[in-house]
Amino acid sequence: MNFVTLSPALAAALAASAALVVVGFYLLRPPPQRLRVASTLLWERVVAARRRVNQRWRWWLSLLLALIIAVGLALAVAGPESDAPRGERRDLLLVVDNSPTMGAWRSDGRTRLDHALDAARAEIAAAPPGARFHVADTMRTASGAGLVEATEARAALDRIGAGLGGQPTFPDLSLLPAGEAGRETVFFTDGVSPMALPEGLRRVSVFEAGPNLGITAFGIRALATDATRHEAFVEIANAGGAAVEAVVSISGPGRAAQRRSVKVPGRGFASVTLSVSDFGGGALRAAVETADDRLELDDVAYAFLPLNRVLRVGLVTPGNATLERALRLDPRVRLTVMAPSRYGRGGSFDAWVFDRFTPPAAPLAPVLVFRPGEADWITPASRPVAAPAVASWLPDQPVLDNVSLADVQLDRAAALRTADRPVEVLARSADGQALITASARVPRWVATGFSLDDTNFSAQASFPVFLANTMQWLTEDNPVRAAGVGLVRAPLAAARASGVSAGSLVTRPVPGATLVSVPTPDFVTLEAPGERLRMLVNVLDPAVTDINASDLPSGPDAGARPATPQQPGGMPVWWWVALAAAALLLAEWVAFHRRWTV
Amino acid sequence: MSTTRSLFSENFLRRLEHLRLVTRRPVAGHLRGGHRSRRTGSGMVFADYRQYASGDDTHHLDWGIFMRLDRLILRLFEEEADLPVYLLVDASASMAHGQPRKFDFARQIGAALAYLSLLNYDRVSVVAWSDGVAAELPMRRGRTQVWPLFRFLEGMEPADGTDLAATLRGFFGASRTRGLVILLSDFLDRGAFDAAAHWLRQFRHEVVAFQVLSPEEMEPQLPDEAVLVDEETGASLALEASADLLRDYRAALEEHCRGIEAQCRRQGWTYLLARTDAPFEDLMLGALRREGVLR
Repeated sequence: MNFVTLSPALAAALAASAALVVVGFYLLRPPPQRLRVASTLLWERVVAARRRVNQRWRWWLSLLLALIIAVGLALAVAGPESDAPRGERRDLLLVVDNSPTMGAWRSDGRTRLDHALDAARAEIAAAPPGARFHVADTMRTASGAGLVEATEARAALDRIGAGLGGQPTFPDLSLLPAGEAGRETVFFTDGVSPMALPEGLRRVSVFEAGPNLGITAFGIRALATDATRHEAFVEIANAGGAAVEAVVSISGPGRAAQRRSVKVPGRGFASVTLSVSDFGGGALRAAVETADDRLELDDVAYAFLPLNRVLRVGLVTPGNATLERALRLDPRVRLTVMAPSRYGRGGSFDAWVFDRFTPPAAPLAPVLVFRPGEADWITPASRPVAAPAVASWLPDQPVLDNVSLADVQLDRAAALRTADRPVEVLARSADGQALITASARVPRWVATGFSLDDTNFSAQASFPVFLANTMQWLTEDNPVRAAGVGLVRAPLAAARASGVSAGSLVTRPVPGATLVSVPTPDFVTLEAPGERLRMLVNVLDPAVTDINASDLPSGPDAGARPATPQQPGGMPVWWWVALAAAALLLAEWVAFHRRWTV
Repeated sequence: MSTTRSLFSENFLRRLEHLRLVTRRPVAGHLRGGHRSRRTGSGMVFADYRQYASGDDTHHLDWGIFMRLDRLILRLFEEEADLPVYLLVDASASMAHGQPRKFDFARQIGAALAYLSLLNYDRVSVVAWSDGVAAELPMRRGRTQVWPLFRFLEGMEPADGTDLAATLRGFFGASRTRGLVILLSDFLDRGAFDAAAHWLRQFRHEVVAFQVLSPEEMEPQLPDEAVLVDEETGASLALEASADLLRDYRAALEEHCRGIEAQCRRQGWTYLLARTDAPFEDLMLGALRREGVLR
């Protein structure tokens, strides 16, 4: 006799406990009340005529009935199953597909994964006595250790959840120890995720086609004509065969959600572009809503709208119309020009531009300095060098992205000292002197060893690009990273994580990073002492959205065994045990009221 | 039972004084009394004629017949004698049961009957019995014996078991004048009533049997499970009370009572069931008169 919910030892302990409780109750029954009567003569006659069973036997009969009922109920709770032979003994390797599409709902309100787990449990129940099992899944959420008994296999199945991120792969079962018995591999899948499957396995299909819309792309970009304005692009895929009317909504801080209806053709895509300039900066959430949707995971996506879309820049110069004009060309810049004598008289700026001016103390905002003077916080200039040539620069550095210094001529420049300073040299002269340097420490700064009066750089086409790149680099926030749903590796050690949707998230520290479990699309913020990292966690995968791309037939689970096969009368054993206990309970009730038992 | 007045109301006593015990057969008393006897003598009721014999009292010669027929014919009259009354009160432990106690109720009946017997110049003997004769008050006669008799009743207390047959055998085994036996008991006797009745039948006593039962015995209220302890023997009996069991008990009690009544009726005796919760005066002035015990 095996038990479904408990091990045999635990089931025996439960039955023994129930028996002890019953015996205890019988022994603790209060003694009957003693009443004095004139004579028991007539009572003796009555009782003698009625009493057919000896009083002691009645007590034992009652106790026996109660014990059988209690033990029967305890065993029914333990879920017994018959040991009757059910065919040839062999080991079963049960592999459950838990790729994201297995989270799709079926028409009965349960997911494909639920059906797969039920089918796996049915395989265990139908296995012959002595069979051993190995349980594995395609997303490596529950890795079984070797071949185990039915109880442990069921526990392993209980631990399998939907795998959300990563590429599903069929586990390598070749390393399992070979047993004397035969072996069969059963794969419970919807057949959507492409995997290399070994030969000879039996596939149990839990596939059922159904409608599904999902967001496959969600991005935010600045308008080409106005960098301060942004628009969102949402792409929706339809996995069903019929066209579907859907509503796309984008919500975020600063204003009410925007909604747009869209018709998505069957097995096709549709896109929506919405202006999001009126939202405040931060995470924006896109959602697609339809009347019938089988997979929720891909119905939501997040994108990040930049916070600093307008830059307040203070230009401190004794007078430089070229620089002023070049800065005003950037539509994001709100420029304030002031003489060096007026510096420090108030005003809040996102960045500074110092032209041949260097304050003794570093400003709180990042700064671009042309020809810096002597100051502790910035690289001091050495003696001027006449007509140096720009020999090399770093085109991959964001400040010099798309900026060419090949045609830049310098009448004179000061080489910038870089020794004992954590600065990056962006451009050098032919003799290796630093002409442009940058510091990434907060507040950032970029310094050129020349003023605009000593060069033709301001007349170059790349000069506005240089200014725009510099402003962008000086004022950029930490970059927002993107990741897929599931277990996310964030390059931030010992961080705490929280999502705007899920709240606090489960993390696990690993050397130099933190693993975050993100079960649904979310905008996740990780915080460690002195550092912060933001991550967009989305699905955005047409392969996940297309839940109907299966080569398996749609419908009832094909290849699965019945849930409780070969049970007497078509009912599980526990059902019969519980029925017998209930019948005995009824018999005890009748016997008690007829005074056959005590 | 401190005084007669505490036992009975004034009105009840006045009504009791107008009653007298009635016997169905001539009594065998040898003292003059108010009851008809088998002997002929100087009574008031004409009985028969017979030839005068030498030595007869000439006061009863019928001189009219002598004048017409010239024969000496003697007129005979029934002689009136007193009635020996034997008051047998069950003083077994079972009589201590009930509220009020069956024993107290039986003593009250006995006191009332003894009172009116003494008023009518009958001889009264009181016996307290359980598994034998526990105490005996010898024959008393006359009004002056009321108080000694009451004190005797007052001094009795229930104890021991019940054995009516042994009691009657012991008491009537000695020479007792035939009379009226008033038997006051619950008759919860493990011995057969028939065996006891044999002794009364043998000596041709006239019997009035009072079966005294308490309402607790007639309509018992028991918990679901109980152990019944016998007042007399101390034996215990465990049982589960159910409606069926209580119904069977009531049937058994009724059968028991009917059996005793049938025995009494068969002998021409009087049987009365006396519930301790019934009005006492109704029993004395109503039931006893209906049964012809009192007139």
